[in-house]
Amino acid sequence: MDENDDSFVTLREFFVELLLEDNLARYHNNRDSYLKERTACGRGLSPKDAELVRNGSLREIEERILAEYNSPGPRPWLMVMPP
Amino acid sequence: MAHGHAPLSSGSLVVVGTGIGATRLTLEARSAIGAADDVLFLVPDLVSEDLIRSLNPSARSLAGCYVDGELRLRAYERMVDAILAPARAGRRVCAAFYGHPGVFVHPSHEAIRQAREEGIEARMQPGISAEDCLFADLGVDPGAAGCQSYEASRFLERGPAIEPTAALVLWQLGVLGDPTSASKPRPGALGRLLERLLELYPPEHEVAVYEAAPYPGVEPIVRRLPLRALADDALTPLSTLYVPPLAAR
Repeated sequence: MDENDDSFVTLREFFVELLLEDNLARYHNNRDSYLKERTACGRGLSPKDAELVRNGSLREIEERILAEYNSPGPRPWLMVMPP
Repeated sequence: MAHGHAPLSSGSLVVVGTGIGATRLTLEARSAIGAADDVLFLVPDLVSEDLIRSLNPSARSLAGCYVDGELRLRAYERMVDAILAPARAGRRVCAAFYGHPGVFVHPSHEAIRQAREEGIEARMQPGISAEDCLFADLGVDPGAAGCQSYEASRFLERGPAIEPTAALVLWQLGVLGDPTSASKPRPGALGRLLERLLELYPPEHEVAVYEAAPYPGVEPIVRRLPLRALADDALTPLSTLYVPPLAAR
């Protein structure tokens, strides 16, 4: 199973979908149940990515998002503070 | 009129903060992004970028303003020019910066200052800053003992008088001592910062290296360590250092 193909929703798409309708409330209410539902549905989250959302560190999640097929790759350091 | 004189231009500028992560975008900011003719944004995470583009498909990133190795001030000048050009042409512009657009953000204040000088109506809306997230995640109240907040490089350069019985927050540790658009920390600067802090605090004083999480349900980065153990490998570009207050004498 290729975890990086478009038969799965990417983590980036998953987090954007969380902002739609009542998804965020359902996610906060019962994260395990929400992730299970999003893993089981047609074009869902891959089991590996669901585990990352469940137990991954911020750094691991960011690295995964940057490695996804629709990612522009590493970003510049976006500093905006006075030099 | 919010700022005391009638605008000379039909263009306008609203500067908004997108918060730290897409779920922290305020209703007010969403509305401003959606209603603008032109949106220019600077956000470090791709989810916030996707959300902004979904709210306004014309949105353009300001990330291309950085040139590796060049002074960041040049990038900020390009950002201000990019933000003001459509406003000067009579368009309603929204500039969106991550966090709070007025907290440790140079180009937002400069764009508003120049816009008003040119007779363009300009205003700022607040957002949720990294410091707001820090207070929530570390469970500290800046009102309890007071709080001093500095950009880390300026703290080193200017050596301000510090009250150790109040909390100290140092921003932007990852580019300490480096005014350029670098993509790596400058070696040695952290050692100088540590020397300065050890003049103020005991070596065993526990500090926290912190980075807010932009994704819901994901833990922030919080590394608690004695001050003497602070080292480059603990830092990320967006790291903030929180130094708790010493007990009052």
